[in-house]
Amino acid sequence: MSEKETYESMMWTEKYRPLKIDDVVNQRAVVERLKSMLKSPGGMPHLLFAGPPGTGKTTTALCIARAIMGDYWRDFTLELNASDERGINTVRDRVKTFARYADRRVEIPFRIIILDEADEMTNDAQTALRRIMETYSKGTRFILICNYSSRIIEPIQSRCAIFRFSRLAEDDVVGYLKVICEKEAVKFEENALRTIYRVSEGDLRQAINILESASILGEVNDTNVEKTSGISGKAKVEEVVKLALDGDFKGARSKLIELTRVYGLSDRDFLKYANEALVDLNPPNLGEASEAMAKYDYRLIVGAHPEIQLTALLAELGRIGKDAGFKPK
Amino acid sequence: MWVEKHRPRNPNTMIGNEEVRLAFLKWLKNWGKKSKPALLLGPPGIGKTTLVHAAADTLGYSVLELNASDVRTKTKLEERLAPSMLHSSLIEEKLLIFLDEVDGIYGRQDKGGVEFVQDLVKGSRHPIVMAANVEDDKKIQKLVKSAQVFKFQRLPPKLIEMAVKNILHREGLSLDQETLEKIVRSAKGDIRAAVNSAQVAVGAGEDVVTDMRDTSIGVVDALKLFFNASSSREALMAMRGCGAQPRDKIRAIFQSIMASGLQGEKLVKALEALSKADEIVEEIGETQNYRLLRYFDTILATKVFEALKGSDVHYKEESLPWPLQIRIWNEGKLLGEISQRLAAQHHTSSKQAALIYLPYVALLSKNSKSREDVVIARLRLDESQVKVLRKEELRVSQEVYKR
Repeated sequence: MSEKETYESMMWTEKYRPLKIDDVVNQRAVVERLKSMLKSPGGMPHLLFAGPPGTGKTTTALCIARAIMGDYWRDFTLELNASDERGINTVRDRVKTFARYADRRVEIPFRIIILDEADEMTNDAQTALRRIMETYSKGTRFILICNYSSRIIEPIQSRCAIFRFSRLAEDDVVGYLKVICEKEAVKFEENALRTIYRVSEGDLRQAINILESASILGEVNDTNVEKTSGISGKAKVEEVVKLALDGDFKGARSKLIELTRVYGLSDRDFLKYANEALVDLNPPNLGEASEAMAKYDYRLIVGAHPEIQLTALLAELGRIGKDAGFKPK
Repeated sequence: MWVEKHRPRNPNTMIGNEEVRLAFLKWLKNWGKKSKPALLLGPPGIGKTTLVHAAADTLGYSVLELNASDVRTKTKLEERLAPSMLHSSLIEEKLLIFLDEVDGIYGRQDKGGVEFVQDLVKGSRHPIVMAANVEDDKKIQKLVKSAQVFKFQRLPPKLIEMAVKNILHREGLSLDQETLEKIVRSAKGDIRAAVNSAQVAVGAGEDVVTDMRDTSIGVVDALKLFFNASSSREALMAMRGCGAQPRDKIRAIFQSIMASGLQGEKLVKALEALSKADEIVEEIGETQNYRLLRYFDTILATKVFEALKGSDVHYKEESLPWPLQIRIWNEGKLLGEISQRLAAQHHTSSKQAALIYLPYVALLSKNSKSREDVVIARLRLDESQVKVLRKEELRVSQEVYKR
């Protein structure tokens, strides 16, 4: 194994993750504001990044840490993921330990805590988070990352400078994929790159994963893109929805159980992707199907049993598909 | 039940803890608006609750009793207590407020419970008595400071034996000495337990069965009756007669429907109704509106039952296809661990890593040995994790080439 062959240099998503804010793909408005803010980093408030997946939120947060703390950024940056932490108390404990840790060799204005998927937190947890932010705001800054800022409680929003990341345009994604292909000396068809954009719905991270996998099958063409885009978790959820609408209740359910119990897919993520899949599949009575999905989503919010609720949803989608004479391709 | 039937009505006919009992009576007799609340501490089954009722009775108080299962949140406490605390009625009624099992108020869900009790006892126009089993609990400590504490001890075996014999005598029954001693020993100072065991031991047949709350049938038998019922009414009786937790009933019905392979409209309707019942149960858990429970059995017996009518659903545990079960057992945990490590490398959550990165990392590793080596080294995978990664590689690449 040559020295250069590290994990980061292999997986293209990491290898081509921008290190400087200037290199973040598009998001010009965000980048400009951040750059002027970084001229005097001492005055940086807490930040809230909102936007669809794969638009550069985490990358930008890491770039900021690097810009402010230079080579030591890893020592002074704590990455937390709301959906991985067991409750607000473990978050508090980790923040506490992190904030206490002192290294006087370097002068830094503050430490940075990046809290990803912050909109997955309950309101109670967010309220507690707000207090944590206040308690430690002297020596730390939070960068909260979420898909929807509306799911972040008002008091937190008002304490943060909000940056909205927009969905990447086709040309931006295709352009970036091209750069990668050239650097990696990979054969590609222009049209296949556009297909990647379409199936990844503008999510650059997913696009790069598909690109790398397709390249390993030989060249980046439509066939290989189609083959490799189908293995992502999202595509699997779409398969479940298709099977259900097609009336194959048993097949859909066993795939669902595989996803939830073997791969740990949460009911929330299932519904999120199932909803996207439903809109893409566009059955004749989409409204009815959406209503059914909303109904079970609500019951899950109340705390009902995920397996029972999602199973009931699959059965109901079967009836809806049948009523509409739906035949998926 | 004997414990109810023979519960002393007069504090003077109680046994054990003589001094504390008298001290408590004195406290209640001399109670004034500036008095501290009373806190009775001691193990279960030694007569704390009995004493409060008997003392109140003797001194002409009526008792407003709340226990932890009634009031689990501050709002609930407030609702129950506020009227009697705030309004002085025209006819001054002598009211004693008894908060039983206060150690139970402090569960996770009981936000603000202890603070509220503290506020409440300040300036109460009624005597307040609290009872708890433990005192080492930190939160109880808070209350201990602001209350007059009465500590109760376990009852000595001799006293328990005497009391049990006394009850047996009044019932015109007897027990052999050996059994009696066994009962007393195993009661470990808990007189209620001793009386209960004695009642069971003499086989006070009818009495035990009719009076004990646990006459219910298990969930398995209840479901057999439920699925065989010829009418909604019968199905309702089956559900009502079952003392199992609502969640267990739902789960068992769900399993049976799944195992039966039910299809079509019946399946849709049955699952929809079951899902609704499930929602109600959770809503109750959330809001503590326990009275909503009364609709629960009815929904099962009407909507779910009617949807299933004429179909061949019987009580059965669902068993998933064997290969799937094996994967859940053998691979689920390991894949979770791998995803967690992937998440750290990719600045994302382990759930996202499992969906977005795992399949691609597996595919790429399958196609390049050197890459697989780096992945294994970097994620520090152990032997069993490597094994499961290779299975995943195989699965993903088969899937890709199949297309």
